Amino acid sequence: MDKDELARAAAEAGLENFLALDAEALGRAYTAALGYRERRAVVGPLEAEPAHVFTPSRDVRS
Amino acid sequence: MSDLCFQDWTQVRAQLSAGSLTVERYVEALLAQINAHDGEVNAFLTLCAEDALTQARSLDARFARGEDPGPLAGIPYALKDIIDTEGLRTSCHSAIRAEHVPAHDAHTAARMKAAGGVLLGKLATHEFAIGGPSFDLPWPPARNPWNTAYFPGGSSSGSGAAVAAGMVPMALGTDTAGSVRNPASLCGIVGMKPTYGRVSRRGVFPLSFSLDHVGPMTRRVGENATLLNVIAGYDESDPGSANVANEDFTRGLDEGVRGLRVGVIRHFYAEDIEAQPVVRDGVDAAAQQLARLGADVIEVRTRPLREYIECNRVLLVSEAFAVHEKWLQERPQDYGALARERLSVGAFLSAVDYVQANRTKRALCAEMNTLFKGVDVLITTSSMDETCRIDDAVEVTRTYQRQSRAPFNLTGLPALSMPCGFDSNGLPLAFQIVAPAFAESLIYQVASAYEAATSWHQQQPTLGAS
Repeated sequence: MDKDELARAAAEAGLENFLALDAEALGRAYTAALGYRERRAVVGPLEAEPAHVFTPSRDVRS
Repeated sequence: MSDLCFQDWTQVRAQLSAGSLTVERYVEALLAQINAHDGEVNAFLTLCAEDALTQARSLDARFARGEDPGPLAGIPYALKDIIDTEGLRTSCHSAIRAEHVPAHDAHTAARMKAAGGVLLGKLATHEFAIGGPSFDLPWPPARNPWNTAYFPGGSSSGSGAAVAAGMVPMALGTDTAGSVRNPASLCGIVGMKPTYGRVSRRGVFPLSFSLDHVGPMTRRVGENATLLNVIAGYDESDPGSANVANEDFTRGLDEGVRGLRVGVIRHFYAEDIEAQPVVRDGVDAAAQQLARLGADVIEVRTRPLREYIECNRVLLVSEAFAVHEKWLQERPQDYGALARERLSVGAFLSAVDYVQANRTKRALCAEMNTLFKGVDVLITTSSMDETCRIDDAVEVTRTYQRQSRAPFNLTGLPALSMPCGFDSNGLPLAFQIVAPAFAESLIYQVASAYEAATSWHQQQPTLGAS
């Protein structure tokens, strides 16, 4: 990640004030997010999934 | 230190009804404990001493008239400071909300008030239930009563510390990735994260809509079950609230575990995130204790712990950023450094990341629920490490992530943390008991049997010795 990449990401998120305040911390947040994306679990085939209604109180009984 | 401060509050309640103890004396004893020790523990952000004493005298008058003012009548409590209290500052432990005074009680606060509980004050939390322990906020972080140089866990840090320190017999915390159970574990008390939807979150400042839970924190299992009786129930104003029948969560406390099937998710702490030996041995010993009590204990396997934790984290930070976006854009300087950084992770995740995490969540819920075809309850670790010093920021961050609590936020399953020993520094160790959705009574049944067979809950910290 270079400074321009972080600046672009901060601008897209509206976090220019944070970037100016503590670029190092914002960089860590950005890197953490990229890590989550890279490690994202592979989801199953669509046909194996029920209709997508995200009602978590029902999820616990699925 | 007054023994009254550490007494089982359900027994105190009986003494109040019988007239052998007054509410005023009980409240005074707890206030004395707070005044003597909160300077080192930092559990309270706001103390309501005068209001509490006024309410105590009023309750004493009602008891004297033979009235029954409710199941919690005369029992003091305190609330994590993200739970709204009418007319009383609810700061979220943040400069951003330092002057916020809610117009209404949260659903849980209203229930405890209606049941006759006496609010003693509002408790420290990690900022907005995510940023802590922090030393750059308007109030200092809570410390562990067993040794105030050590971390008390979080984010419901003040709730865990205050209950363990005998300042209140019960408190509420909130739990999005383990924030009731972590301080319960590190402070040596009982913390329940009920089933998603069991307890209303109305009036609780959100961290993550799909993962937030409110839960009771007490020193003993029976106290915890009795408090859940008060705060559980359907609330149509919380979209996540489950319309299920109320029940008595204390009904199985004396039934023991003979014949129950207990599944140990051992790979969580023996393979996926290797726990320190003292932690691993503590959970294994708890499993053996349950076996000696007559349970059928077997080892079970599910998906790797990291998959649950990472999925939980993507949902949590995505939803948390949605809550905080405007403030983070306009006034980032008003957050502490930890909350600012942790909340901003969600800014850099995409809609696709969020949707895929929800799809993964469904798969992981199904996977976890499959385990209950073969067992009645599950047990596993809570934290993976001995408690570290609160001023060791690197170690706090490292150990905070090494935990097995988040899977039960993701799946919404009820999970309870309770003490199972002490580490090499004399700080508490803990394990978790988990049950199918809406089977909290079964958890209390197992926890009560374990508690009755052990003496961990009888230990109390020596305040002033750190």
